[in-house]
Amino acid sequence: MVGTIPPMVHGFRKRELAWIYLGSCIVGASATGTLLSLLGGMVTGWRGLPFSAVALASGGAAVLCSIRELNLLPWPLPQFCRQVPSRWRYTFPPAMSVTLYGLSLGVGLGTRIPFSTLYFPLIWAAASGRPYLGAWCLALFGLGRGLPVVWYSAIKTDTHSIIHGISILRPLVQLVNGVILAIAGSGLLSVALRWR
Amino acid sequence: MSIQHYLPEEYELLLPRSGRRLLMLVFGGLIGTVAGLIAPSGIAWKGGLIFSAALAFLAGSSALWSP
Repeated sequence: MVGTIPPMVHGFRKRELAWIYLGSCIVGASATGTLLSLLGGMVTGWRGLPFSAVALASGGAAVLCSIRELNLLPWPLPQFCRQVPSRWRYTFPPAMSVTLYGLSLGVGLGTRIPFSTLYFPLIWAAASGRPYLGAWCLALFGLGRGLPVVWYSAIKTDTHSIIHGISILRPLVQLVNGVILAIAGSGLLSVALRWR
Repeated sequence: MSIQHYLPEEYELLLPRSGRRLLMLVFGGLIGTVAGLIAPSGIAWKGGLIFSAALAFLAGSSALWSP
């Protein structure tokens, strides 16, 4: 993604493309949240699951994911290994292609998932059984996905430096994700055992 | 100015090896357990959703590193 989107939005005149990308990411992610919570609602009769069950499931998943992200026991994530087609950059007008990229990447599930942190809000969106909560929760995924691109569109460094700079930070980001998942998972597990 | 300008030269050496990563897992687990034990019962769903939204933001911003 980093080699595709920032070059499209980089530069003063292309800044509005970055905002379009951000908006489409939020719309795509909210659609995922809405759909998941609708499915969860249909399964649970629109009441959602009991809190202790959600806390136990998401807490256990978060601990497993933290073990993976800290590289202690690497296990394969269930995910699609497709990527957004780079030909969209050339076959569609710029505004249309960033919209398509934003929508498809914002959905989050159809392409590669770099870190397992995404599974946590997905579980919560499905378990809540309320579409507005699912949409709100996953909208922040879209916001997080789009904001760095808006920032990169505004800075004056050349695109190759940005891409190289981003790629060397990957191990650090993975570490941060792992530690935060460990905190979240153990917190939820202790809450679930305390309030069952 | 590029990002690597702000990183120390021995940046890769600063990244923890497996023993330290295990310690980070244990330490993170302890922090979470203590937080879970002292959390008031009234914030169950609201707190969980706010926390999962924060993790959604983290997941979204980390997705920049997808291949």
